[in-house]
Amino acid sequence: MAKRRSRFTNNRALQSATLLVVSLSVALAIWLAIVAIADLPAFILPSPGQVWERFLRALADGSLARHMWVTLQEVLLGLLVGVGAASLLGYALAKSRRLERALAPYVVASQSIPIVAIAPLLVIWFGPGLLSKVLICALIVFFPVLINTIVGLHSVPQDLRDLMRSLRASRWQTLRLLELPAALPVFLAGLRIGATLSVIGAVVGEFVGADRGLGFLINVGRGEYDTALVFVAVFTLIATALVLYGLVVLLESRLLWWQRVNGNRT
Amino acid sequence: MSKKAAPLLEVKDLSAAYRDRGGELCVLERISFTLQRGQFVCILGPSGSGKSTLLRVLAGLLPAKSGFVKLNGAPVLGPQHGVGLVFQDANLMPWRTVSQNVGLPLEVNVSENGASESRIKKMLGVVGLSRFSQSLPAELSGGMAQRVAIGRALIQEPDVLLMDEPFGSLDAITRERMGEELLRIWNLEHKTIVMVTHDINEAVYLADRVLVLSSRPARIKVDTPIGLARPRKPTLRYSKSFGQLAAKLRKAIE
Repeated sequence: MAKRRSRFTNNRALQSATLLVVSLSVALAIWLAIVAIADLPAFILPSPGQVWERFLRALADGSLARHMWVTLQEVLLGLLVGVGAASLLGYALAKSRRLERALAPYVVASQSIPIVAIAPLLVIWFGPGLLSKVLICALIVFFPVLINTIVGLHSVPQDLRDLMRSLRASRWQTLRLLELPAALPVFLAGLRIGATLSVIGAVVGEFVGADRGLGFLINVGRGEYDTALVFVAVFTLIATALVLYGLVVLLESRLLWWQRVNGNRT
Repeated sequence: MSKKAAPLLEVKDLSAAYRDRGGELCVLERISFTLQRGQFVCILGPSGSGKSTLLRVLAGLLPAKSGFVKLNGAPVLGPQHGVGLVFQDANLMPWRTVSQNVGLPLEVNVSENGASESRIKKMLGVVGLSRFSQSLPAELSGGMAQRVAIGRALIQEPDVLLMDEPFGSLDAITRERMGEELLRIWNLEHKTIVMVTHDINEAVYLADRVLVLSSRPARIKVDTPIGLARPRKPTLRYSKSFGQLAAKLRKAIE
């Protein structure tokens, strides 16, 4: 039984890998075709070969790794600060209707201002270094994680709350034994969104004012008509976001293993 | 008071209300009864009559508007130590195994008497789930899940077991089987049981005594002993005396 199931999952993994290779090849072929047919100069649309060459060069002189490390730091620290603040405030808001009513207008209003509009202010106040970028990342991560924390905590079944109450569980025990595990699926879905948004936040911050990072690299490439470099930076950003997303998915499958058992049955 | 032993549970002039948008909605009105240790009592009533509310007040989950509930002579003002609760659907934590679900109360109130491991093991034996200790709730049938819930309620050795339509979501055959199972466990542990149900046959088959509630606001309409001999066998359901009792209760409800 177990053997059969594992072969089945292997098949599925193979299938999705094949699908990925096929779709990437098609995209590459279209790109090549456009370059060949339209005969565009490299500073408008470089060919895949030119981008690859530029990638190797940026890798060799260490500039790509250096800028990527800067961006990654901003992304991860921003994620940490944003998720920390959002889950703490989310818990408080989920626990107190009054607090939720008092603060909800501000939380929603903050979302009607695009992050690009606030980013210059943060750079002015906190300088062009790491701190302003971390804050921008944290701000953009904050909202989805906050909402999902609240929704997750509200989704805890009332009967289970009554059970914990009847056992005279303390607030901490209720949090640890009931609320955390029950809210985790929704919370992690918020984290998944937050992880990719944090990458956007870092780039926005670097666009506004920075002397390093992948966003800065894009600005440099644009200024020097080094379009291949822009492509390299964009692809690196995509890869970073994908890896972060993948890590959260991995975390989900580790922490939510019990949901898979449910899925098998139904 | 009287020649009888002090009652385990005493309910006196109990009223309870829910607050909603329009104001207060009176659900229970001046309910009084006492319960002796070891009794199996069923509370019958039309749906929406406030049976569950009565149980919630007894459990200390809902405050009384007036009157009082006393358990072992002490007023019930909040959730009590000596009370085990069984909900309508099993109400298990899906991320915990069967044995972790049964052991939850021992984790919350770190146990004084004996290692929890052995108590969980023993309780799984009592509810007949030893082979499923490592299963997840999603892998269980409805009846098995409800047995986990009963084990969880019994593991702290409560004085009284409060059950809110525990078999309400099970099919008829599983339901009868669970009734047998409950009687077997009751014989083993000899707990006092208060069980809310809307199934007249279930009440007559299981209980020593049946309280019938009126529709809202609920009052005790009928308080009748069920004198059928124990142990009760499934064929009892087709006997004449069983039918008479059921008919009498049916009339009382309408």
